[in-house]
Amino acid sequence: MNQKIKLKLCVSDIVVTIIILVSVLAMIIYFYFNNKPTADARVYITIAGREVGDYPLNEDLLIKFFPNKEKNTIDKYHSDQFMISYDLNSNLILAEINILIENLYVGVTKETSPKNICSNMGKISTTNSPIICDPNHLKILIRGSFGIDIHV
Amino acid sequence: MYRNSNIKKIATLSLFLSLSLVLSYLETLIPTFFPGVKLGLANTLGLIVLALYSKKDYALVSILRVVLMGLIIVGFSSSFLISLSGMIISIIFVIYFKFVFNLSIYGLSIISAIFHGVGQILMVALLYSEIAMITYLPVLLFAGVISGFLIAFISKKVITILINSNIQVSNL
Repeated sequence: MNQKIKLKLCVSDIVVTIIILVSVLAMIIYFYFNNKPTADARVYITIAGREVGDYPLNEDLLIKFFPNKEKNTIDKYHSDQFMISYDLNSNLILAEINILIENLYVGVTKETSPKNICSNMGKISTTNSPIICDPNHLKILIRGSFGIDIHV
Repeated sequence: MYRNSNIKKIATLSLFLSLSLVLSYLETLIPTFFPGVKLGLANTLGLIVLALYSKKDYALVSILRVVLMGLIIVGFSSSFLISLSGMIISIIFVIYFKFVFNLSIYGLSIISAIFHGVGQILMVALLYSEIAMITYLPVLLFAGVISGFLIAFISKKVITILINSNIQVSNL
């Protein structure tokens, strides 16, 4: 039996690896200098493609989403302006999800997806790094006036 | 009627496919520190098939692994689409880089890992209409370089053992 690809590390491998690492570095630098949070930035929460609420990033809020027949609530900041008034398709949420907006950061603090993908993505504070959690069909995005703010 | 060597080839490829499924399943049990970042142990079998058989067999075994994982474990949800898109893009680029740049197993493994990530990001961006997901790309690319190198190292060891052993595999 003979192998059909080279087994020893060669120059072309090193060149390709260096190109990839330089690209990574360039992307990190680019994203770092284009991610400044803005004063009017807002947090947009989407579940299964439906935008279910948007909240100011500079207000500390705890937003709770519940599955079937339970009331979705917002703590810490009680205003009708931010009350959720929609019928959420309960089948799309696995269990309670808590989203915390605090000190210009937003992140998922409680969820029960199989691998805790939402909470493992950590907190975000910039317009170019959404939290996307596939098991719960959840997307959290910050939008502001500056920085990369691409939305298709 | 199939020739004896052809039957041997199908049996061996089926064995590689089964092993890759087991490795894929075992990897789902290992917790990850970053979403989407994993070692990709099942890719060792893909690389072994690419090294010992043809690009067609490599593509077939890799795609069948994703389809069977969808059928048996993850289900045909958006996770399946994300995996499939990652695998298809990874296969295309591995074959391209193999024939155009003549990379070794190390280069091909790294290409496989990073383009798997690129494909997954593209599908997530498509499913969620969120192109800003590309900001996660540096994490996946960097992780792809490290995991690709490790997987290539493991694959190389296994291929060397297979070549030096008395196992006869038909390449027809």
